[in-house]
Amino acid sequence: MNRILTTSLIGSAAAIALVAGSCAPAFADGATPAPHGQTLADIQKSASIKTTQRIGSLNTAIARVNAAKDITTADRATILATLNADVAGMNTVEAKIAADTDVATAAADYRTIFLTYRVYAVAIPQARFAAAADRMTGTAIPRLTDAQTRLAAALSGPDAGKSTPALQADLTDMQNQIAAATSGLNGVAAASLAVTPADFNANHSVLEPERTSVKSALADIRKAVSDGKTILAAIK
Amino acid sequence: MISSGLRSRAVRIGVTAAAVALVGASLAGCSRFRGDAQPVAATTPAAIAPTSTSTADSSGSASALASIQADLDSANSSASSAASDVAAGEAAAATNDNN
Repeated sequence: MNRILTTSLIGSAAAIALVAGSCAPAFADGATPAPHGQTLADIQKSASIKTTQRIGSLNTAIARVNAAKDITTADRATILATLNADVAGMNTVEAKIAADTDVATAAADYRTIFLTYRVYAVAIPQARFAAAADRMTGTAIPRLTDAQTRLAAALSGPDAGKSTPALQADLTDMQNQIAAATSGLNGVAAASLAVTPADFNANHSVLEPERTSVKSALADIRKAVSDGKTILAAIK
Repeated sequence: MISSGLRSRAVRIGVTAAAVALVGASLAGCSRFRGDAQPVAATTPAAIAPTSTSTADSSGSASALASIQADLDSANSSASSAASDVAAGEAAAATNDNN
């Protein structure tokens, strides 16, 4: 009888362990991050590593934003405010966890490293996507527009003798690519910078539209540059 | 003898003519001043658009073509920087570290 009871208890324990084990993949996707270790010291050590990594990445991004000349003043201010706030947040939470005296509190604080800040999922990508949008809007598109205008003037004026249907098609395509990039980037930087960690926690694809728009505009601009170079080579 | 009334009218006509002449001369001077000022103003657009690589020459001259080339190079460089930003953003988002 006792053996049956013992076997039953062991079986139940195994079932519970299996159910718990099946939850492990959910932790790995970032929704419920948990430290590898279970002791307070392990949590504190892991927290130190995670926050240090993020502070390093944030400082790299901050340096990049400070060095970029073609990010708008408003976007630069927004980006730097977020990145610097996250650096401060990482330092604060790391100090808090280091001072925690029980596993439950430390584990709860540990989770905030990910869920509250989303440094890698939101802060850095949104800064980079907004910077890319600003670079293209503020520099690439105006320069391409200028080049396209003067290439059109050359083909209809002093270099009319060198104009061909193919070159005119390239000129039209260049204009269309510039228009597509301009339209595609409209509002992208602002939309990217508006995303919050809470938005990401609710929808892990929340930054996908901005990423797609920026990459599409980038392709448009590269094609416009290629068109311009083709035309320029023909009339040189 | 000229009557005093006739003399008075002649004086008024003379004064009026002189006034008209003075106003005309003044307006002519103003026009010439504006005309003189225009070439000075015409030199300023290039100074207030320091980021532009454009030149006033839109013909196929070497300088115009070089300017177009500079614009295309600038656009290409900007696109490369933007591509680097996008790649860095994607790499961060792909970090398998609980994000």
